[in-house]
Amino acid sequence: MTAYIFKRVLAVIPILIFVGIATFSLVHIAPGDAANIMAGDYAGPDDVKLIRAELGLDKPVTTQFWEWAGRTLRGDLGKSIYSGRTVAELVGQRLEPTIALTIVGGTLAVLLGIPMGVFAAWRAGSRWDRGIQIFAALGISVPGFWLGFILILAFAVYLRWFPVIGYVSVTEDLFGWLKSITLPVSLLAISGSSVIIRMTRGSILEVLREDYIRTARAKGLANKPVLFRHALRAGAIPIITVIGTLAGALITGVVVTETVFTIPGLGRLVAETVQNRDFPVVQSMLMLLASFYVFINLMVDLAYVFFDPRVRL
Amino acid sequence: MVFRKKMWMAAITALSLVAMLVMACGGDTETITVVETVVVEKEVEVVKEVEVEKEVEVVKEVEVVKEVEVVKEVEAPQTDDRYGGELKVALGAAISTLDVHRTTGTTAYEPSFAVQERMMAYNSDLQATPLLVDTWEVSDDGMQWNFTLRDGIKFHNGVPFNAEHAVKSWERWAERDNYGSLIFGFVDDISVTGDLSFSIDMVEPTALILEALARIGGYAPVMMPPEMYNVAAAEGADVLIGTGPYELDEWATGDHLRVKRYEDYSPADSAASFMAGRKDAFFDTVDYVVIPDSNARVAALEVGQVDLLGRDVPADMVDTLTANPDVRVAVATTSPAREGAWIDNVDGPFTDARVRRAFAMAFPVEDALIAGHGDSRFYTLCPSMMACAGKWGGWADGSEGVYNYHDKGGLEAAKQTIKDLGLVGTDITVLQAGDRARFSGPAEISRQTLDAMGFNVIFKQTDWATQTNWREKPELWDVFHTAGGGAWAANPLLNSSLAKNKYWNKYQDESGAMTAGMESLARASSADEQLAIVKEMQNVFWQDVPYISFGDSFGVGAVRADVQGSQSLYSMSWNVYNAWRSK
Repeated sequence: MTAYIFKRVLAVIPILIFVGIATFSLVHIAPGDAANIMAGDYAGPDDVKLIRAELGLDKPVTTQFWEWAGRTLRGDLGKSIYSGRTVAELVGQRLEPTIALTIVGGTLAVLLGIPMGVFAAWRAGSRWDRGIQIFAALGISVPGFWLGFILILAFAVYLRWFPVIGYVSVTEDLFGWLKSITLPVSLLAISGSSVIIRMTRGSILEVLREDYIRTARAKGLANKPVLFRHALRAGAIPIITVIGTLAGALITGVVVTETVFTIPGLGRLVAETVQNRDFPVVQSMLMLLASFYVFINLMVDLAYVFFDPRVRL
Repeated sequence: MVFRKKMWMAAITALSLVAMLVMACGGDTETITVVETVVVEKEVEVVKEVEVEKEVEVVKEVEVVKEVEVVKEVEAPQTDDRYGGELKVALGAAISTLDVHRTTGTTAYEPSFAVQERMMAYNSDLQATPLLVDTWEVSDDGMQWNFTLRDGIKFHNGVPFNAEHAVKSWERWAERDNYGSLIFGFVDDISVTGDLSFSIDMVEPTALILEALARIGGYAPVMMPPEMYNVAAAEGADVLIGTGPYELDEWATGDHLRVKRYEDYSPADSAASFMAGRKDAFFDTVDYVVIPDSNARVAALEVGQVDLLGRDVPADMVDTLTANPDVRVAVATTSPAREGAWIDNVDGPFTDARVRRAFAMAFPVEDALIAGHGDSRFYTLCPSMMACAGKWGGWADGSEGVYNYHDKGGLEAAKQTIKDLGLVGTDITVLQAGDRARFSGPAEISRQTLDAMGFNVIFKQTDWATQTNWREKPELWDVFHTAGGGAWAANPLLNSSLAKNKYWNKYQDESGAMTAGMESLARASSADEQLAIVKEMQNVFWQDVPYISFGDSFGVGAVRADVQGSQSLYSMSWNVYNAWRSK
């Protein structure tokens, strides 16, 4: 088992190197640069040329890559071309809302998704099953930004129960915080739980058709232990995979959520910096998000060990 | 079992009700606890003997005995009931920098208008009038300008504003701004002649000096302390300090920037008029909140989470907002932008002025304005080179047979020209920035027009950031769409698209007539002379067609109905001072 864990951890290193090269290339392949955006609409070629030289954007791409790679290896994530603030500072400013949204949204998605998925599988073919499946299909298919605006229109503009925009820190005002995250968290939970429901339902249905479940039932075992002790445990591997993927998807999904609900989190930071071609921040943010994703996948791999004894072999 | 279920349901319902009640309730405390540091002083008589005059002089000096902290409760900082509260201004994009000499991007300017000031400022007649300047005079031959600054003005960091700050700030602006380099071509020397006075010696006279001190649009000639002007503009100062009625309180990048009333502000004596005259900071704080999505901005205004949208209300939201009794909508007709199709003058078929003119003749200008703005309330057809609402626009000279002429024979004539020149089927690349609605619609009109003329149109759909990059390379495009506002739209000297090889269209001005016009305009000493020159330049414009100018388009601002005093001239958010909330 130790060898398995060691191998998994070691595999992360080349992945991160690849991610680094890929993010740098992507950012530089994309047309447009910060000099043009910073100069503004009225600026002409001379202004842009001047700014490009001042920012060092006129250096060869390879030089820029080695400079960036060197800084990143030393733990220096660079600083924003626009505000002059370090990436660490910017991330620090934006971390709380994103953590709040992803933890609360993710937890709700799991708490809703798994029971609903199990229930739909247990009552496969029933009205309940169809209802849950329709909910899941809509949750996956309806675009997040559209659903977000509908939530705003219904609950913030018409009913005025929640704010249209903004985020209140949990340390500042607990009820204000709850109000500010209710709609965005609902959006994340609806789309997240929909994926979990589908995967859980499919996985449990498959297990329920297995011979050993039929045997258990034939032996007279009650529904509850059949479902929770045997079926759910056996069907857990694909569910865990989905939850792992969902954690990564939540982080990137907050880009839309934070933009729609005007929440100053990491998602909006990514959207803004991509729009402004603020390369140092974009590169570092992509690296951070990719590292997080890799970390979650590593955790999922390690979780398999506990749920599936075959992995330990 | 059933009873337990009911108990749970009742408990959850009760908890929800309590939570909703607590969320719905909330009040603001009216009294303010103020901790003041009071300097206790006593007067001490000091006897000084002045040897030379053999006179005894008694001087009163103030000796600080001690500082004590006094805690007291006050109702409000001012007795005028217009004072107090917070104004929330919605911005569509993040404030990228605190240094307005670093960008011409407009969001950086919004807080700057409240925090920083120019030496001269435009009044509502768009005349440059003294703001930080007390008096000024120009010699009869126009070769020397003398300025005296108002006394008693302090920067927000407590440093008294003086002539050296004024000159250094203005020089920093001039290094950055096109207008600055134009003006400095006329300037021989600027010298500080006293603590509050400086003079400008000219190489040759120009009537544009005062305009250059009041400049809006492009880079802003605002006054800064050494902490700002000693930092290279390209690097950008990381502080925002000025002499204005508000001072920087907090900047959370990408989220909001808050300014608070500057208690030591020294306002001008004259009556308030647009950016000139007396400024009163009635609101305690002004919070500039970044809301990238336009629907969210409008919704936030409707429910009162923000108070003001400067000038970027989407056209399709105007009727909804107008119907809302809690909101006031204003179309800024006095401050138009000029929109148009920018043409590549140095690569491809449009290097030939006849082809550019043919494109202009075939172009359905009104269709493009409708495509960009949707409604005739937000634009006006205007055939002049400069904005019709400005002082150098409003006549049709030179535009006959070219401007908005497509259905009067323009398209047919253009097709013939293209045929005669053997250009039928030639590739023409049109760029469309899909994320800017006001430009993407007109780009589609360009595509249709060029197609109808007989070109083979390559239509490249992209985003604005990419378009800004592609337009750098003439081989990648032939037509793109953009707009210019403020002084850029009103003053040909500030419109780089008319200058030789200056803007992305790279106008070549083969005849030299436009360049000669610019030089004459800069040297003209009277308004009548300037007007005659601009009219002549307009003839050249429609002959050469460096780009196609569509007409005047107007931004739409909206403000909560209880906010009084906000002006719609240019952008409402430029005048957050002198605005207050009715109680």
